[in-house]
Amino acid sequence: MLRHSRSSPSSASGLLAPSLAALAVLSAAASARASGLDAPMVGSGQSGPTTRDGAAVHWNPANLAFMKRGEFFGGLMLVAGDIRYQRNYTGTYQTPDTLEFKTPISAGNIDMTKSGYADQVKANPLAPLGNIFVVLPPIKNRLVFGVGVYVPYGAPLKFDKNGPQALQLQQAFIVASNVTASAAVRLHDIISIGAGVSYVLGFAELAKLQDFGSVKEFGAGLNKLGQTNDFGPNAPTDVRELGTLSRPIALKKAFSHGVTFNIGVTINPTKKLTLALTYQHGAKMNYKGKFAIDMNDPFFTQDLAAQGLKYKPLVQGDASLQFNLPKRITLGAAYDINEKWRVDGFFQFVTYSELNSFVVTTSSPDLAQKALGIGETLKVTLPRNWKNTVWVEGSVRFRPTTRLLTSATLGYQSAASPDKTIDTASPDGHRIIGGVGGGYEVSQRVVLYADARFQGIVPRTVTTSDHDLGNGQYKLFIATIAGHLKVRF
Amino acid sequence: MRRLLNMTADNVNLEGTKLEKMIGLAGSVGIPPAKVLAALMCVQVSERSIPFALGAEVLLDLVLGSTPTPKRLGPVTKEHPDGQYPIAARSLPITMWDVVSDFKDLSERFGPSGDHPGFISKIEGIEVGSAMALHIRANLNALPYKGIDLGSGYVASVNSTSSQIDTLFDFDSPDWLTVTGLSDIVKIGAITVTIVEHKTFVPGGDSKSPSPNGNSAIWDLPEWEFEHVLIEMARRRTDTVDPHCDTYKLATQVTAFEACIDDTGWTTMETFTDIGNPPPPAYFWDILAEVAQVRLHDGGLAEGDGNVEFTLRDVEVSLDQEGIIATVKENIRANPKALAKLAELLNNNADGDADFYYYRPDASNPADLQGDYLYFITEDDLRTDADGAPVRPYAYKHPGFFADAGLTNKLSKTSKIDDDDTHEKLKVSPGQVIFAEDDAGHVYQVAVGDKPTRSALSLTLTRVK
Repeated sequence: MLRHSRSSPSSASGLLAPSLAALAVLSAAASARASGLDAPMVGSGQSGPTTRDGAAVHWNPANLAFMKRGEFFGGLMLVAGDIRYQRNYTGTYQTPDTLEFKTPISAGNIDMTKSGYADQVKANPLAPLGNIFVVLPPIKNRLVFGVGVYVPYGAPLKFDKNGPQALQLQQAFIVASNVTASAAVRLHDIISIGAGVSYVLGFAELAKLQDFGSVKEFGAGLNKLGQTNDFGPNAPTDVRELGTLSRPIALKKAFSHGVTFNIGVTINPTKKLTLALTYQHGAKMNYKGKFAIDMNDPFFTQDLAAQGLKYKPLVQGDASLQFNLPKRITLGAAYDINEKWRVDGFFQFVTYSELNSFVVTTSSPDLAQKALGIGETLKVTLPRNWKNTVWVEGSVRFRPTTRLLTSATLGYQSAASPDKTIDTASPDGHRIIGGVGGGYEVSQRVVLYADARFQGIVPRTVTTSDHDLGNGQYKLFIATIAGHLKVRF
Repeated sequence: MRRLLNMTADNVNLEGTKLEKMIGLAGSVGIPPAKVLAALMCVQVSERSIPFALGAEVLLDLVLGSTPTPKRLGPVTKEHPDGQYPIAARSLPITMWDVVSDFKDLSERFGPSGDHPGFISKIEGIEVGSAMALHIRANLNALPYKGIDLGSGYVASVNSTSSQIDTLFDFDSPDWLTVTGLSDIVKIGAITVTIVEHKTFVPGGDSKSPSPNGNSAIWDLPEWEFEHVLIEMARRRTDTVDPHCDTYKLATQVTAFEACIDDTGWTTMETFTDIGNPPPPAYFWDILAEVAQVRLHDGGLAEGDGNVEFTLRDVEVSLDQEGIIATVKENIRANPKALAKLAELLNNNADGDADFYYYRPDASNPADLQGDYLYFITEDDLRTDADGAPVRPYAYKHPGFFADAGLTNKLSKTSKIDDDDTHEKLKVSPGQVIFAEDDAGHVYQVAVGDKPTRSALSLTLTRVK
């Protein structure tokens, strides 16, 4: 095949492959946190900030103090999702196989097919998750220890590789797991406090196309060589998403390690009323992995070698991403109406606004372009400007018999991603949460739980995405079915 | 040589020359020989026989003027279609290249060439000043054209620089060419000039004919040889002497000796009353040349070993900065192709050896010209090596595109598109089948397939011969 790339005078270029890797890792983190996966099910459908079970290690360690017996509480879940995105092109784009670097672009090079809504793309993640909690009361009614291992987030996302969202995300696999050790002290009959320390392990891999037209250093490199251009983070749509400049990038084996803690207090002013207040501290996460960028286009590998630009067909190296997990403050309440009925709920405030941007560092000897003054290491900042969120849930629980417990849950979570920065890597919106579940007490020691939980965002239409990157309609639905086993000892 | 250039009537040693006899004559009438010689040349006794300026003129005219150096390059015009210009008399043409290269070629350019010994044998101590830089703004699409090597099917790159020569430079922009670091003066520490002597002594003439120079064999010697330089110096010196006679009388007022020089330079010395033997008549330059030759070999220097070498020190070459820049601009503007090769070398993005390449006309062209074209390469498109020489000969016997494998029905034309009228070009469309021959004489069928994208072409190649 012969390709004609003559539309734009180009005296040479400077490239920034590091930025690719940067943005890739950013997307991973975004997906993990401000996304449809951010309303996890930890424990069973009966667990919560006012519930006295092993999952209190996560929800409210103070509740451990009320547990008189040791307990093993573990379960498995299956999470299935349906994430749909239909992109709406509201800007002007040039045909992907032309190379005009500066506006205005020639009328003949405008891509008329990139206008309005494109075909819908979807991803159907399916992931098994699980959790295990163990409670040990060394001093009954006074001091209780707990430990838990749980995976609140985990999802493989896979979109059409060549879909309109390819520059946001092609596929991703993100997992975050916690190992927590907690201790609770019952200060009084009506009040207890608890605290826990968690080791947070994150893992991410993802792939996408990176648009060099949006990379500041790429534009600066071209300017240095006398090639005027409009490239950079604020590039107009006219010079974005060019085929030659859209390079596949993959992030592999990115691990993060963090430590955090939570504290809680539970008060029983009356026998029927329980009040709880918890604080989950944030964690400093540092993903470290490997990146690879496919630079195998003659533009990058040979055509401009005379100008000092020449990359290897595959650029590989190390990538790291640092950011802080948000803090969470939860206020819970429960009221036992009678022996059969109970209502409970909580309100949680999450400080996502602390996350304004992601900073990524990539390094590789293959990134360096000496003639253009480009070194082996580069830092890139991707703005996110997330908003604080609120999460409210309420449950009604009914015991038709002494052995059987049923419940129904309804909740709402606000969106962290604003219209300006939302994309398929972090699909988000006003989230409606629902669930049904129950437990059956097999014996005094053994209880089985089964739950079904659903969450979905109200279809979200975005028209003000920065640089038309994420305009379109987002749909998200996630279903979780879970089974838990509780053994008291 | 220094002695000769500083020769005066007072310090000249006439022994061994025709004028030696004049010494005796002068003595016999009680007149210092120096005074006789000075009077004959119409100078003071301590005045140089050959003024420096005259000596320099003759050196430049004969030794420099006879060097077989190439003419200097200049703009290509109707009058100078090859861009070559004669060098101005008595001048050493210096180019920007000399300034940039610290004059390293100068001694070679004006050094020995064939029989000519050259004018400059050594040059050293160049001080150009701060590093000079020539900045030329070029508007160049640095991307190559994509083509096909028929023999291998390789997608090759064809350097597109030469096709952009007409738009390479924006001559209307005032700063399209700037020079930094160019000094007003270039200092050369030392220039050594060598003049060779003829192998044997060549006597001065003794006859008026052939006119106007006489019969000395020195006139038949190469212009650059020392003897010829000397006699020419003397001849020009003689031109400055008015015709006259110097008469010397005894105390008795009897004329004892008379020396005359006429308007042709013919010099006669006569004695009266039988005093001494006057030298035979001759042209004055014949006399002086003989004196100089004899004195050159004082100290036992053998004939042929008297090569003269002198060094000019601390030579300052003034540079008219504005003039140089204006001239360079004018030269490039008149013939931008002169820089095309340099631009091609600097932007040598060719890869492989394409036989033809893919081209889409500029969007500003009429609709009927828009579309996909194949351009058969010309000699200018051949890939070059690091020195700019083509890596292969242009061995195509049938350049262009044809409708048949026999290459009898040519479809392509050299019609003008985007200022190009040199390439055999053909507009193609999916489904079309054409034929082309590579430089090895093999014929290929080229089938145009469906377009993968708007600015891409799919071709299937099949060798048929």
